[in-house]
Amino acid sequence: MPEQKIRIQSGDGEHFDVDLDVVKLSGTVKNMLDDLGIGEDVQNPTDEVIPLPMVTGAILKKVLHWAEFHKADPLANRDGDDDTSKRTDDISQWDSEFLKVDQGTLFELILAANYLDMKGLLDVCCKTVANMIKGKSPEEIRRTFNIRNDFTPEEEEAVRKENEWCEDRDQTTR
Amino acid sequence: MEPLSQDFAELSEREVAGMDVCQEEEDEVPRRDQPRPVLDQLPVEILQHIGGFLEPTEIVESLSSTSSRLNEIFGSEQYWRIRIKNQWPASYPIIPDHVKQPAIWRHRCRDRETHFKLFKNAEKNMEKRIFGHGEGGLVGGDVNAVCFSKDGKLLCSGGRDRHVILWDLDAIKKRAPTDVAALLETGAPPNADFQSLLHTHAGWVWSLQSHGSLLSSGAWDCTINVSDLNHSVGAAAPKTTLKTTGSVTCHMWEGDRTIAGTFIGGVALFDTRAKTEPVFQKSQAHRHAVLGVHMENDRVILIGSDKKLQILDVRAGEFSIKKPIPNNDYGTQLCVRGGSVWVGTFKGHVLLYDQLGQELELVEDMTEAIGHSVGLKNQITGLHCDSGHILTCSMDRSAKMRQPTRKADLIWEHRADTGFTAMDFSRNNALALAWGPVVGIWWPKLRSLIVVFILY
Repeated sequence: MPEQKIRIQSGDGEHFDVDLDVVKLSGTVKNMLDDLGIGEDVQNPTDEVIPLPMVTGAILKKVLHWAEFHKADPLANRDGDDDTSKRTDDISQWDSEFLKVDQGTLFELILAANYLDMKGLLDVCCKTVANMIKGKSPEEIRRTFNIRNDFTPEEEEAVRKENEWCEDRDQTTR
Repeated sequence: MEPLSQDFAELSEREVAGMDVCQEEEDEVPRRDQPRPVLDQLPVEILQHIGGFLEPTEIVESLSSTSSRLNEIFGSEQYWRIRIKNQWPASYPIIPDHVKQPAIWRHRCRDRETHFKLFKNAEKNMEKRIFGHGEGGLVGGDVNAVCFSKDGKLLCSGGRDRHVILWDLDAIKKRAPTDVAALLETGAPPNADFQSLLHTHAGWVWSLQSHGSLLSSGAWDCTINVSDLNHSVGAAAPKTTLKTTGSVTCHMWEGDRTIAGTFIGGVALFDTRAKTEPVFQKSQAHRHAVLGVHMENDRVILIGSDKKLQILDVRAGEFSIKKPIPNNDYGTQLCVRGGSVWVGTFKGHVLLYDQLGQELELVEDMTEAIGHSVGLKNQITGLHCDSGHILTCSMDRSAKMRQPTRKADLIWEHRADTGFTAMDFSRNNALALAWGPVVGIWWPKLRSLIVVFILY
């Protein structure tokens, strides 16, 4: 049985015909399909085009590439009671190759993943950014991400002071 | 802004399975006129999501200092409150406080995340060394008190052998776990490179405190010896001896003053700038032992074998509040932090009192949640409560670290073959426990918490 294809359209007018199981990785698209009653009946294909105005064709292509590879992933179990949910050293080989892109593309992928409600993609992109931040001083972060230092020297000093850890004195009697 | 990477350009030419590109005429990647996104201009919720993959220390020390927008997002107390709430929804702290201390929530968030991360997976994230029978070097009897120096480099122990012993943690960390046994076989003194004797009292050592660079030891011989560890480590450290009229069971520092409780029901206040005699003394009529003291300003909170929790007003020289401890029981451990007064008891209960009101109210009996065995011979012998956890040890042979919430979910537990006798938790997240003459030390593995180490 051929897999049902769904046609989606990017913000700049590019069309993609995508397998239903791939496109359903996007919570946003899945909700739209559910609202339209599409996808439940394979015998009754649809001509409906799903518009995704917030994503460009170039980024959408990349997102779909990721989704194709990850369509069979087990649903991430959100267990807050272990320390794995915050790990950033668990990015798969495939994903880290996939995310060897310039920063602009990485951030556009993040915005797209957020808009499309694709938690897996959002997490792996955000972990990648977090890894670029880890171990760097404020100045190194500014250089890495081309962030303008918009503090006055006085403000910068105040922020530095504010961001010092002050240890409260506490004692336990013994 | 640089053009899309080579990788990406190649990708667009490749056929991606399950996906057909319908528009054929577009060979190049379409470029938009609007500028491409940069990190510090991303929407708040995305920046917060990225922040979720960073340690609190990484955010506070680096990310939030890079630009005013990032500082606005990550410098806000609200961010840290919500970050805690997202991970642990239970209401926290147990006694809602009105602490106006600046940046308290980021400290709380750091402590909770750090302690949880380290101890929930202690096998992976903590290093431990247990100095068993015959491996304790200078230790010649049951250990009654352990205490980390404020810089976290030394552990001090004291007990029935009357010695106050310094343990050099850097030397212990360098030593492989098997070294102790190997050294013993060669007949060399096993303590040579990691222990030194600070001084010896004329009676059992009951109480150890560190304060700045000072280490003080209270003992059965009615003295508190105060040594400056900064000066030089070892017996040469200058020592001041404070004299009380009764055996010292507990003491605590507040600024230049130290307050001591004695076995014969007395409280003695010393001002170390003045002299070695007390500047204030008060005895309870019935002479029951004082077992825990805490002083803030001129208010002293006391527990002891009179089965009460009391407040002594030093200026008025009078006891202002006396609360009976429930269950015909008495407090053996006292930990005061902010508005919370924690009491561990002789029969294994853990009680939480609120000191913000005028009357010390018992707000929560935490005994069941903490879960130590209750009854005689189940005395609570260690109690440490901070913003990250509740840590207890008991004669019931267990030590437990729990979440600082009413439900107090278990984070970590250690069991021994005898009851625990002493405990301390350091500011750089090391833990020491003693059971009889055995001393166990746990500390974070370097790789798991590099950032936290930089702080101290």
